[in-house]
Amino acid sequence: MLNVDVEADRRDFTVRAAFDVADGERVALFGPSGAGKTTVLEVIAGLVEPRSCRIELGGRTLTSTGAPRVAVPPWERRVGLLRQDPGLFPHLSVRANLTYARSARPGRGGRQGAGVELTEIASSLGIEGLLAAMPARLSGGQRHRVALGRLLLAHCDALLLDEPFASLDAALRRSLTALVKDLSSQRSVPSVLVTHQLSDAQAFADRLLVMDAGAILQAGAPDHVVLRPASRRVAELVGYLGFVPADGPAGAPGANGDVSVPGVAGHSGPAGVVAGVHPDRVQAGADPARGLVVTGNVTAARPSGAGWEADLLVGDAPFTCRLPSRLDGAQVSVTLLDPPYFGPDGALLAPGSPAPVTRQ
Amino acid sequence: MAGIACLGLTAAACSSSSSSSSSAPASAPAATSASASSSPSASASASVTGTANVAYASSLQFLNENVVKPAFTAATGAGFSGTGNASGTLESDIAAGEISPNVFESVGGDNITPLQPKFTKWYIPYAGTSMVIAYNPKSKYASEFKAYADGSKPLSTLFSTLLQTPGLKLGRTDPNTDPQGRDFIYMLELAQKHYNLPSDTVSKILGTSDFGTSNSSQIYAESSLDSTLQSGQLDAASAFVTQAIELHLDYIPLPTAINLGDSALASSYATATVKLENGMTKSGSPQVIDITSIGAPTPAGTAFIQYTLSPTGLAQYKAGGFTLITPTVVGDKSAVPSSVLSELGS
Amino acid sequence: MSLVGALVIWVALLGPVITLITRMSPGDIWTALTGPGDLDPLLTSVESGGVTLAVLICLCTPLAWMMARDRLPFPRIWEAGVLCALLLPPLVIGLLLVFMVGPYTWIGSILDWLHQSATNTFLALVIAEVYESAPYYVLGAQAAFSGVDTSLEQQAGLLGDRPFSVFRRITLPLAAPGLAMSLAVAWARAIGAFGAVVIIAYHPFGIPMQIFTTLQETGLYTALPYALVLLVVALPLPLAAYVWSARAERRRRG
Repeated sequence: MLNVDVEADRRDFTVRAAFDVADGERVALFGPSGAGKTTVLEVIAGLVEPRSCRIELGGRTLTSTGAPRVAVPPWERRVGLLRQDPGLFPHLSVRANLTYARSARPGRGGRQGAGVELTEIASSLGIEGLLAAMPARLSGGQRHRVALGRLLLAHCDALLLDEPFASLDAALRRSLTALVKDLSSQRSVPSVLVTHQLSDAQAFADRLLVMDAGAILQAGAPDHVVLRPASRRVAELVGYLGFVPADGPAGAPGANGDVSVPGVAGHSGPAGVVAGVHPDRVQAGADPARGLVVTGNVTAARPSGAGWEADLLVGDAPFTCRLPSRLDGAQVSVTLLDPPYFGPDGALLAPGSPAPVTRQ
Repeated sequence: MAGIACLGLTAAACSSSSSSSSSAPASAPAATSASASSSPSASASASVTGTANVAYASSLQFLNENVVKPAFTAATGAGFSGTGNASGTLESDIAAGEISPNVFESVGGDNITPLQPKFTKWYIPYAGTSMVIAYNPKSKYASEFKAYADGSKPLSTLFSTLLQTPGLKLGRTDPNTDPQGRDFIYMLELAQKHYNLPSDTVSKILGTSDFGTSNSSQIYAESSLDSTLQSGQLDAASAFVTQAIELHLDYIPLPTAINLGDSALASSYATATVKLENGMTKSGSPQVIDITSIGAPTPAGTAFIQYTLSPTGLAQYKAGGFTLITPTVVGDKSAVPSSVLSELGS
Repeated sequence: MSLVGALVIWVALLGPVITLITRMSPGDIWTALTGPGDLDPLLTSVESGGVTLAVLICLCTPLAWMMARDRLPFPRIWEAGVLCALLLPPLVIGLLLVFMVGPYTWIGSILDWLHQSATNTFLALVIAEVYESAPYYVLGAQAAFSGVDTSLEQQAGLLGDRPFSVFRRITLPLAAPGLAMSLAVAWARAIGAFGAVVIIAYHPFGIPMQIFTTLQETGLYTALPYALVLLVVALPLPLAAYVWSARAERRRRG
C-alpha cells in the first residue's frame, strides 16, 4: 500500500496531491504538461523534498516532514522509477544493467536464484538475446524493456512511471503498456503512471487521477471520469471539445428561476447550464431519448478516418464531432449521448446517483 | 627584472615564460647610409635612422630600459631595442649566432675578449659598480645590519659571526650561470682574507665547501632574489650597489678591498677563485661595465655608444649609483668609429 | 576540411618539435645525456610530477565534483576563483608563493618547526608544480563530471546504490575519459612547470631548470637534448590517456 500526501511549491502554483494506491492497483496521474505530476513522482521517489509531505510504502514511512521527521534516502526506499529516457548505463552491458540492483541489494535466492530470475525476466521481456549487447546498439523499445527488466530485478515495492513510452510509436506504446500492466499485477506492487495521453491512462490504470495546476480535480475509474467529469475543466482535459447551452426550450423557468435539465431525470438547476460535447459521443440525427438534441450550423467538415469531422456552431457555442457521413445543409441536428451537464459554476450537475454510464 | 629577460630567451625550451625582451630582427644596414653628425657635444645629434640593438648585462636593465632608452630615442630619433641577460650568457649567445646585437654592454671585459676578433676588436670600460649586502629592514637582525651599514660595528664580525648565524636566511644567485653569484663568493673570500678570519669562514657562510655548486638552499634565480628579499622572506641578499639603489633596498656598503669595485685592485681581486660545476675555475675581477659594438657598425648602434659615453649618458649612470671611470679604449683603437673616439676626447 | 589543410595546421603546430629533432645530432644527445648525474633531473621531474598528480587527484577531484554538481553556494564565485588561479602567469604565482610559504610566513614557520622548508626543496618543487597545474585539472575534471547525466546517477541511487557506490560505479567510469585527459594536461603542465619553479624551487633541478641553467652555462646545443628527453618522458601518459578514452568510447558503442 502506497500512501501519498504531498504539498510542494512550484514556481506558479502549489502542488497538492493526496491519494492511496493499494498493492497491485494501478493509478494514473493524468493531466496537461506542467501540472505537477512529475513533481509528485519525484517526491515519492525521494528525489525532491517538498515543503510538506508524508509518503508511506508498505507500512514504512519513507518521508515525513511533520514530527517525527523522516527522510529515507532514495537508495533505501525500494521504489522503482521508469522515465521517458530509459536511463540505461551506457558503459555497462545489458546484462550488467539488468543485474545492477542485485549488486547493490544482494538478496533473494543467492547466486543461483539470481541467474534463474534474470533468464526468466529477460525472456518474458523478449530481450534474452541482447544480454551481451551494449545499450548504444539497442532500439528505443528494446531499451525500455531493459529498463523495465532492471526495475523488476530490483524487486521494488512500488513502480513509478513518468511518461515512459511517450517517445515510442503507438504500437510499441500499446505493447509495452500491456507488458507493464501484467508485470505490475503479477508482482502485486502499487503502480503510478504519469501521462498526458488519456489513452495511455485508460489502457493502464484502474483508477484515474486528473491533475491540473497542482491540484487533483477528480479521482475515479477511467470510464467514470470520462463520462462524468467533475467539472468543465476536467471535461476539457478528458477530451470534451465543446459545451453547448442545455437550458433550452425543453423547460420553462420554474418559480426560482431554475430550468429543468433534460436528460437528468428529475433534476432542475439554475440557468446557464451547459452540456459537455465529446466528439465520440455524438450521434447524427435527433434522438431525444438517448440524450440532448442540439441544432446547429455546420461551419466546416473534413474527412477523418472512415468518417467525417464536422465543426458545428450551436448558438454561439462551437464544437467538433465525428459523424459517419457528411452532413450537408446549413442546419443539422445531432444528439449528444448522455452528456454531462455543468452548472454556471462549472461543476457537474449530477447529485445523488449519476446517470447510467452506458457506452453506445 | 633581470631574469625575466633570461626567461624570454629560454621560451623555446620551457613551457611557461613571459618575454619582456623586445629583440627586433638584427640586420646591419650598410654603414654608409645616413650617419649621425659627430660633434664633441654629441648629445644633440641630427636624426639617426635605424634601431640600436643593444645586449646589456642584467644589472643594466633598469637603467637602460627606464632612463637611457627614452632619452636616447628622444635625442637622436633612432629606435632602441634591448636584451638583458647575464654577461656570460650574452657572450655565448653572440658567439653562437643566437642573437645579433649592434652593441654589447658587459660586466667585465672577460666576456668580450672571447668575441675578439670576429665580432669586435675593442671595448671601452666606462662605469663601475660594486658588491654590497642588501638586507631586509624588517628582519629580526635588521638592527645589527643597520649597525654595520652605518659603521658603528666593525665589518669583520658581519662575516665571522652574523652571517654564520644558523637560521639567518641569506640569498644569492647561481655561480654557474650568474656572474653576480660568483662575485658574491669572491667578495666573501676577499673578506675572509682581508679581516684575517678563520679559513672555514666562507664555507660556514655558504653552508657548503663546494663553492661552485648550484645545489644550495641559498640560491635563487636572479629574477626572484630581490623579490624574495623585498617580500621579507630573506634576511640578507647579495646585490650590486646600483641594484640596491634602483630597488630602494637597504644595504651595507663594503670596503673597496673586497667589493670588486676598484679597477686598481684587479690583481687582488683575481686571487679569489671559484671552481664551477663544469670544471672551469673563474677568478674575481673589478665590476667594470664595458661597451663595444658587435659586427659591422650601424649608424644607430654607433649613435648609442656615442650617447652612452657622452657627458649626458655618463651622468645617467652616475645618477644610477655607478662609479664613473674615464673611458679609454682597450684593444684596437683603429677599429673604433670616429664618432665614438671623439667622445673620448682623444 | 581537407586532409591537406589539417596536415598543414598540424605540421605548423609541431614546428618547434620538428626544429628540435632536426637540429640535434645523435652525438649531441649522447654526450649531453650520458655524463654522470645527467639523468638526475629526469628522475626529479618524474618523481615530482607523480607526487603532483597524486595531490591533484586527492584534493582537486572532490572540488571539481562539487563544482560540477552545484553543491556549492554562489557557484560563480568558486569558478571565478579557479579561473583567477588559472589566469595568473606562472612567474607571478611563484612570486606570490614566496609570500605564502616563504621561510618567515606562518606556513613556513610551521614547516620549519617540522624541519621542512618550502624554498628550494623537493617540497617546494611539488608546490610550484601543483599551483601551475591544478587549475587546469579542476576545470577539466569539472567539465568531465558535468558531462555525466545526473539522471543516471539518480537511477543508480533508486536501484539501491549509496552515493559513494554511485560515484564509483557510474560517475567515475563515465567521467573517466575526461578525467584522464585533464590529468594528462595537468601532467604536461607539471613536468614542464618553470615560471613558479624558478622562483621558489631553484633546486632540486627538474628538466626545465636543467635546460635553463645549461642554456646559460654552456649554450643551446647542450641544453636542447634535455628538451628531447622531456618530450620522450612526458609523452607516454597523455598518449595512454588518449588511447584509453578512445577505447572506452568504442567499447561503449558496442
